[in-house]
Amino acid sequence: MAHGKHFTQEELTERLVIPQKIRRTIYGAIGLGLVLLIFGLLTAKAPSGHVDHDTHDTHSALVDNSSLHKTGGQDHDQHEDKEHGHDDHGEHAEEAHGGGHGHGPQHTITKYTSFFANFLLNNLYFLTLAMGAMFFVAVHQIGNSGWHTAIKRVPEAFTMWLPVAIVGLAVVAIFGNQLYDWLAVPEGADALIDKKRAYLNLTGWVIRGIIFLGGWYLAARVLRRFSLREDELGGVSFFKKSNGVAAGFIVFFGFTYVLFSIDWVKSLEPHWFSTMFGVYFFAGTMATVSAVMGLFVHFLRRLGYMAYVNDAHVHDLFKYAFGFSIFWGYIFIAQYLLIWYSNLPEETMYYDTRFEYYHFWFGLKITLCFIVPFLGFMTRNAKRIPKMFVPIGILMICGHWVDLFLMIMPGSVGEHWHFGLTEIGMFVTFAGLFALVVLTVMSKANMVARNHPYLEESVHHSTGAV
Amino acid sequence: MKTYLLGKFWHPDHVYDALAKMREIGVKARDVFSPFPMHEIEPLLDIKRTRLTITAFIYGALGTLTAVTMISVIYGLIWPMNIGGKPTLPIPDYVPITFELTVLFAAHGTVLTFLIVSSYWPGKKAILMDDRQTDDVFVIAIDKDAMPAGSEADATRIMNEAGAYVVTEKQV
Repeated sequence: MAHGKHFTQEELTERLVIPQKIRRTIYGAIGLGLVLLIFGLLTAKAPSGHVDHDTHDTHSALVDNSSLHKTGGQDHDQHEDKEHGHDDHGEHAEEAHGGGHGHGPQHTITKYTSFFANFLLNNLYFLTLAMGAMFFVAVHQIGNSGWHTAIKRVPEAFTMWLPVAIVGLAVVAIFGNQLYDWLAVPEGADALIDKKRAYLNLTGWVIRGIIFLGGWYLAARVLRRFSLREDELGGVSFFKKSNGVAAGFIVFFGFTYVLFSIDWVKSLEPHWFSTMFGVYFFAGTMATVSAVMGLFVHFLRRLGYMAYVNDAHVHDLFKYAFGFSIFWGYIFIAQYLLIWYSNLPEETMYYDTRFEYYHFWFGLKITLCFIVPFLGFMTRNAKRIPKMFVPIGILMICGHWVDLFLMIMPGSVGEHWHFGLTEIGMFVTFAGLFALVVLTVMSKANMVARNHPYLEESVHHSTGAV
Repeated sequence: MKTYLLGKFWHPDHVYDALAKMREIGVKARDVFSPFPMHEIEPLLDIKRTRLTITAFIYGALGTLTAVTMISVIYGLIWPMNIGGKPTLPIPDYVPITFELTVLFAAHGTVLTFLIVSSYWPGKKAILMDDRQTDDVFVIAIDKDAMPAGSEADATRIMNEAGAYVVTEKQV
């Protein structure tokens, strides 16, 4: 193209050298996080006492309990013959909350349960970043996208976090019976879980985990290798080969990401059904990874790299963040309304637990994951001016954490959730490790895919004056 | 009636070159007609940022307000209904209707505003600088009254050098 600055091969050849200051900051963050974590663990107390579930109607809740009771009562008659056989048929309003086991997990909650739940949360958090980035790379590859080529190495580096996430999830799997009801509860104790044991059993869970994570890592590895070989040899042969891998990955990802979210997150509450959970998990993933990539590209430009990336690229990344957070809100309310409108009282326990013990977090989640990005990223300038997108992006990052917190904690620790030094420390440690891994991977290769067929188009990318 | 100096091109890059060079001698194009959107020439045309997005937001907010008012008044006060034993004013119920009305108001309001502002009404005769501008020809239109004195020859030369296949005039 005739317009815009032309970049020579020398300008397009640059290696990231992690500045000592940044490196020290990252090590400092990891150290500080570990200190907070250990201090938090030492001061942690075992959850006190068993909360009587029958007295909770006094709590304020978004759902009007009394009217729900009516619905639950009516429906209970219809459902009685096929109910799960463990219902508390007492006079109390228990059936309004969807079966006797509606509240809280059935496994023993020790002071380490919250630690493992938190560990799972952070592993999933950064795994979603890696997988969102992987999806980003694959979908732009098969979409013949031109604009993303200049920033392609950033999501590619994100995907190289996968091995760490795999190790982390393996540790979670070893201590799985601390978290997952269906692993902790013996056979015969819970009729509904017994019905699901054909799918939810340890062997199947581990095998599926190996297939999913292994398949994703293989695809990430292959795409990365093609991309790096293309840097050396050039030509379009690697681009064409990547197309096939990316297309195959997207099909594989579509099925496995849903099953993965069911296996590792939804199965924390094995009584609950939701056909929208997979896409809900995916929506949160994409919104966050877009914001994180935008912040990362901005950070690299601030360090003086990536002169060929212009504001339009950052603008487009935050456009994704904006769009996917609306998508997240849509899926969130759709999942809620499916249960609300179709009168499924036995499914309301999922939200009931959250309204009762997590009402602050629930409001915070909707604010940070939907309202803040929706209103914040609405204008064009908000996606281009660092003073705007940096705070909004950081709020979105916190929002995804809260989102995962609300997915994981009620099923694993019930009402005994804890937020303090342990949680902050663990997240800071993981964030530091993630930054270290991503920056190290980035420093191993050229900052831009310099022989990519669409590079020329990408460096002239423009979203126009308006 | 205005007289326009027209440069007609086969290639979008030539349009960009011509616009960039003409700006150096102070000639600004009134408009460029292109078969497809060319975002990169927008800074060269000094196109002001559109205010249409602000109207879209206002229409959307109006839709939200309409929906919330209508549900509250009709469903909550005038004609409360018991549906499945749910409360008569449930917040989740608001969401789909509010969403739909917001989208409806924003979309229709924005499109209608655009049509009115651009004075497009049914039966309006199209103003075409060149009959092929919607097919494969790129046209730069320069208002002759707004050109700096004596710059016409330079502008013609620049457009010819940049690759225009013809430079003409047209009264519109």
